[in-house]
Amino acid sequence: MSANPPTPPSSENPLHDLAKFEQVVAACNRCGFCTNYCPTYKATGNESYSPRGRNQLVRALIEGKMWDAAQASESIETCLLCGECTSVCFSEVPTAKLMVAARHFINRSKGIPRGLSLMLKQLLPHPRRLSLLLRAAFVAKALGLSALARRTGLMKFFPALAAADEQLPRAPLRFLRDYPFIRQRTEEALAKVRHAQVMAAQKSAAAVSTISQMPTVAFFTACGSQYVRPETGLATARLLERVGVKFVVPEAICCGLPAASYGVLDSVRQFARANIDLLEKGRYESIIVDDSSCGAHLKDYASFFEGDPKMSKRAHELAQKTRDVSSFLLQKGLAAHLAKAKWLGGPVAYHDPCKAQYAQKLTAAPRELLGAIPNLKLIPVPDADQCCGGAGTFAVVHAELSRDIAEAKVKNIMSTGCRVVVTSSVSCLLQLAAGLRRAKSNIEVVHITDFLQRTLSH
Amino acid sequence: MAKPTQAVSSLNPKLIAELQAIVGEKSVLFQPADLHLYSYDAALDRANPSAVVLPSTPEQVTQLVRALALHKRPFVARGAATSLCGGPVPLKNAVVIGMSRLQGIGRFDKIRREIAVEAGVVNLNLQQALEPLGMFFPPDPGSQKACTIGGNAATNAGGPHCLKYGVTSHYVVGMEIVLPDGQPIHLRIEDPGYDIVGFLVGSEGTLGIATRFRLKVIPKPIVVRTALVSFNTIEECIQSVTDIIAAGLNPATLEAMDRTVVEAVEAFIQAGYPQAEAVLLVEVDGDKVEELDSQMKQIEEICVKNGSQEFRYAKSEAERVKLWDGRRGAYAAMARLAPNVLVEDGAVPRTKLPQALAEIKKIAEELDLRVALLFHAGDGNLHPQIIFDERNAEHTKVVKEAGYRMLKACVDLGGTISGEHGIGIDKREAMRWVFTRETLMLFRRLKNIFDPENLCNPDKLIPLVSKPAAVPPPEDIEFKVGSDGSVTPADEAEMTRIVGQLARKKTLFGIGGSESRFRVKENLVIRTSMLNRVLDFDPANLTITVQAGAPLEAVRKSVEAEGRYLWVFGAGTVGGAVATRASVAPPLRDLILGMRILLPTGEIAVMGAKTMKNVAGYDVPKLLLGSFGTLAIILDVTFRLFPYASKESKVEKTRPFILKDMHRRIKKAFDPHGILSPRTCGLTETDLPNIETDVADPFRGGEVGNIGDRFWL
Repeated sequence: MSANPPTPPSSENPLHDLAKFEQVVAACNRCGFCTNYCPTYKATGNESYSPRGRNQLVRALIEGKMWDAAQASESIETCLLCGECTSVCFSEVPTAKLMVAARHFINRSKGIPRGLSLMLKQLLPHPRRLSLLLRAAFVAKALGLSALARRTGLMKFFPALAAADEQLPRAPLRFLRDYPFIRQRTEEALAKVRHAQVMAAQKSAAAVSTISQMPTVAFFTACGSQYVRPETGLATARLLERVGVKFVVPEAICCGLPAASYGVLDSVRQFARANIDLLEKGRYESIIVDDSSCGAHLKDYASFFEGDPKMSKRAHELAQKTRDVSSFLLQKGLAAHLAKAKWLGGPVAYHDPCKAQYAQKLTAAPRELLGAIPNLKLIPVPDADQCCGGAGTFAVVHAELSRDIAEAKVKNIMSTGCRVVVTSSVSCLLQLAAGLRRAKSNIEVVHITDFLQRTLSH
Repeated sequence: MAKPTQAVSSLNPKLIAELQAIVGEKSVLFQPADLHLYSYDAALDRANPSAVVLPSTPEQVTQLVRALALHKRPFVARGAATSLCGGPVPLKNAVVIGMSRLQGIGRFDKIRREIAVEAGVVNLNLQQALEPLGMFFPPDPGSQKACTIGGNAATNAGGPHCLKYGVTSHYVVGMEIVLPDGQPIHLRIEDPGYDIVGFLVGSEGTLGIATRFRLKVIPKPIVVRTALVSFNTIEECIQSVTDIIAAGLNPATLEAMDRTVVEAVEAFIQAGYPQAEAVLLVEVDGDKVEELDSQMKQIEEICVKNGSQEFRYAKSEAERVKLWDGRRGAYAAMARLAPNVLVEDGAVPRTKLPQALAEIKKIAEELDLRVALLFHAGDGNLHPQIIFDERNAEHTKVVKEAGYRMLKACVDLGGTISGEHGIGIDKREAMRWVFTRETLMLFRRLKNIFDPENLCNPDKLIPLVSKPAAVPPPEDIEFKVGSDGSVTPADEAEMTRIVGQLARKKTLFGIGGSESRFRVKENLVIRTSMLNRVLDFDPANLTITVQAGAPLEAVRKSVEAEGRYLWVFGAGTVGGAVATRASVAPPLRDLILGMRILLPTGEIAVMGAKTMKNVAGYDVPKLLLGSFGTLAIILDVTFRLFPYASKESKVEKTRPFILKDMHRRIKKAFDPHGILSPRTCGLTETDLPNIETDVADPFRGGEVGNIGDRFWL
């Protein structure tokens, strides 16, 4: 229990960014209330996988009691960043935030793995490259190459690839932005941007009136619906149309959540800056996001620009405009449409993505929408507050742990006797589907907009 | 920064391999980061283990303990480490056995109303499992969201509802425990002889590692009324509690909190606590609405008389849950005010609550500390919480000193140093204030007969006792032996002298009260008949202390005249009732708060106090239950009284039992010379020499471990 202050932070010291959390982490008094809520602790029974343990490691790093950051890396890397611990913590210690900072610190002392750096710097920020690569991969999959690799045992040498392949049993060959319905709205978005530029130059009355007639709602296409489940994005678009919202699909890149998850903070800021630039150009009033994970991250940009008042302000403005699709549709009166629909598919359960329930405190809107459908019986899932263990690439990188967590979740879902699970993040959707497949269940997992659109078009 | 990762463990590689063979490679941890995370509990003391093992089954625990015992490596069981006294902190670089994976909950036995659980089950998870059955497990410590049943049993945990329903030991009816040599044994409270189950509950993991428990559970009350009362001063609040108890009311909880606690809690959960100087959370429960309403009315009257402001009922179950979330989160919420909080756990007789409060406030003022007050006021259990930052070493020292002074104040008021948290490392030295040297030596002997190598949670609980200075034996006295072979000392002093003399001469003897229940077979019998006085009757605190030779029926009658009830039934003497465990319903084991015994060495051991809760030291009185005069002479007993008559009163005919191995071992700790009542319990002449050999040395073990700078050392 040394009273010595830690080494003073300097800009060269990799501890610098972590040390500013000294007071925050000291607020953990080790009461342990969080442990029984942490999915990784529940799955392992190991303090090193508990929020309390993770916070104590960060504290040890800051206080200079642990000389080797690599020692802490397993513990810090296995946090799902779900945020449930903070929701039950009386002093609200932001463990997920601390883990991002700690990963950043570890990256700075160990260096970023080359593959990760490639993905974050060369791939995700460049939609064209990403499309090309994924299309190639998905074509290969469609041609049966992954199945072949699995059969020949080749996959055994690439466990992460095998896990990814299992997580993604079907891959689309046509991406969301390829659909004319979406492409047309991308054109409109571009037109709007051009008009705005013209207006800025001319200040003519005609230009002003044109721009005021152009849609003020933007639909931000998340990577999940863009590359993995285009039908979800299409459904979102159709629903927006149905409630009479005129919208465009602006140019944007990945929100950058994967970079944040890996603690690559300069990349996070690059993604954020690029998206803020792109989205500001269209002067939108609302930016609709149909994936809770991306939505939460867009709303969180400001926290990565502390000490940069200008960017911070822009990020705050973007957060103000960012709207979760369920609450937006509810506000626009979709419930009235749903009241006329028919549901004959049996009981339904709803899975709350952590980035909805903890990061955005959003649990009511999707339930209200589902509740508006006549005959639809919505059954509560036991331990609904628990993360499914998907958490983006976590499912692939920490496949075994992720599977254990999914197993508990799937058991709870199956106990409800539901036929369909509805959720609002593609990461959860893939994780739940994979878990249910392993449990030989025929419960279907559907994204909320997809589900609502299907119900309405019956 | 760039030093290579190394696996450092002080353990012998062969032992590591053995441990890995039992639980699997991944479940044995010895990286420095892992060891760091198993060095703490929720309090301040820390010590690194040499390794951590995570078993998944009770059988693995047995194998692990066996392997560790063979290698003579110390070990400590750890549940969720929510302990507030350093209980699971591994001194002597002990190997931590993490119990968190033992999550099994068995089927509910409807007839006995019992459920089997594994040690790692979280208290709240058990409550949730019982909910659909309409049952509940009453111990509900503040940490119930995280703490395990194993931890609850180790510390004999309480919680707000134990005011009415009693503590963990009332509900553990059986256990499977691995003794420190790796031998697993099954125990039930109905087993003939000593109440070993009751004795092991609260032994803080120093006598073995319990892996499974059988718990008694009870039906949830049909009606619950919860109210929040606000006061202008904490003194008014506490006085109301003292008056409510003295009035003979029977609320389920009486929880007092001051403004600091309320504000910290409200900042996080907005439970709806008023901004008052003090609040009292009152709950009554039962089957009949009218009864509860009338109780609440009386409580309200008492509060108003003491100057209460608002008396507000929880209007819905949701509101009630929220209020309780607030109360249970009080410790956790202190973290909003400062990084550390020292929570003390003294207990006093309920009539002394106002005085204890004044003392605590005085100490805080003198040392200029910020103290939040949170009391299980109904059972006199005080949790002053001193907030500080451990990074300031000077201040930390002052805080610890304050904590100790507060405990001392409780002891001086006839109370104890721990109501429910346990002793662990934190209060080990304070044990000297409540226990005599002779009592501490008895504890040490008991520890030694279970754990001769001091391997099992070493160096906790019992402070080091120095060898007594050699004094010349007192001169022999003459005492009169009746024609029936019995001696009847006139008082305690004479009895002590006589027993001392018998011990020196190794003369066999037995103990007799009225011999209404069984006949003592020894040639020489010491009679307790002259020890027949009521030493203390405290109707306001609901306790009585009575000598062993007092006739039970007369005692019962005399307290009933005052509107108080002693729930111990049958005829004969008080001591006889305890020694034969004849009064079975309500369970006698739940009614004993304290006891003084005369050991067959001539020494007196004193346990317990006039407090409702007391977890300081081993629960030795449990061993005297059903001991049939084989362990010690009971001198006097402190019982809990009730303001109303018991619904049941069952007395069973019990008979002396045959001492099995475990009984003989325990007897050794009390009676190292083997002179007390051997024949009564079927020990033959040939058994006697066996008993006398291998007397456990009370001075072995207990070196001070790696506990850093402690200001009192």
